[in-house]
Amino acid sequence: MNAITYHLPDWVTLTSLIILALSMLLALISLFRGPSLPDRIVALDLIASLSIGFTIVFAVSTGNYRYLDIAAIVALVIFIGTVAYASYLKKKYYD
Amino acid sequence: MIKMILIPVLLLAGSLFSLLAAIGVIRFPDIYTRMHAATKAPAFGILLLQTAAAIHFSTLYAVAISLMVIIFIFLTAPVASHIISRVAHLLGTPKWDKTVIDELENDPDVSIPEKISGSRTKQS
Amino acid sequence: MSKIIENTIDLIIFLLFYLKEMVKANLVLARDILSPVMKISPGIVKVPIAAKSDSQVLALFNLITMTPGSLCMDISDDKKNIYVHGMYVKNRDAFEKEVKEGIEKKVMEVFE
Repeated sequence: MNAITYHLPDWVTLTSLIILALSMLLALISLFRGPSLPDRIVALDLIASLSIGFTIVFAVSTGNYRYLDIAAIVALVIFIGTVAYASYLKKKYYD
Repeated sequence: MIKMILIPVLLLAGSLFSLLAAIGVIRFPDIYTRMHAATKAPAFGILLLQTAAAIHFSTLYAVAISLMVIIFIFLTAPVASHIISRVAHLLGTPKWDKTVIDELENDPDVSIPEKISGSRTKQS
Repeated sequence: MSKIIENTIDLIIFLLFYLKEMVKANLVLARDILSPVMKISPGIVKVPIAAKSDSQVLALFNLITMTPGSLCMDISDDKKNIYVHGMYVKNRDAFEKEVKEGIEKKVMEVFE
């Protein structure tokens, strides 16, 4: 083995978290601004995807791999959420 | 040490692609082009971030759960974008002025469900 | 036995192709988003497909959504046509040919 031990510097995860927070802010702006309801669904979907990324970077920065479970659960749930919103809109079209 | 270089690059690239998706959703003019940004870029960003996490922990559990998340995201992202764009087209969401062609409009091959004329009909 | 190995090799080639297409798609998307002037010309094109089984349709759907500048919108009732939203539809026939030659041929090779 090499003498240098692997160590992830703090500023990397910090920068990633800041970038992800900025993009979440932008997604929130587009959620408020979106002219129609489907636009808002797209923004919500994007926010959910960003929160998965946030959880993964947080797991790497704390060094606890159990946080990856949260990412898996969010990934499983957001799909159902998006489909539920879409079918709600379809029902609205029927009325 | 290859890990020393690979993991920061993957983490930063993944979060930058997520930022790209957010900028695209704000900048693009109509919903269909927005869907391009909101489907491809976050899926790729999550792929990069999960790869970084799998290499960082490099235990069997972390690799397995990372693989599961990646496969699930890549199976469901196209389905979600399909269902949103279909509903948006059904509701008649306005398209951009410079849209060249629309062959889905009034096409007989796709059955548009009839509006149910029930007691809750909207007055317009 | 040799059939299984052949299928596995086909699948690996398909996955590598998928990865390559996705990286390309994201770079094209980045160029589109960050360019100061929007040079896109979107449009929805009806493309006839030759895919028969459901797994072929699913793979085609997935791959079209992940390739540069195209997004699957809908599929007709008899599963013979598919509606693709493209970013650069300058010429309708050229776009249809691009989808058919580039992507569908690849899918039909792997998922026979």
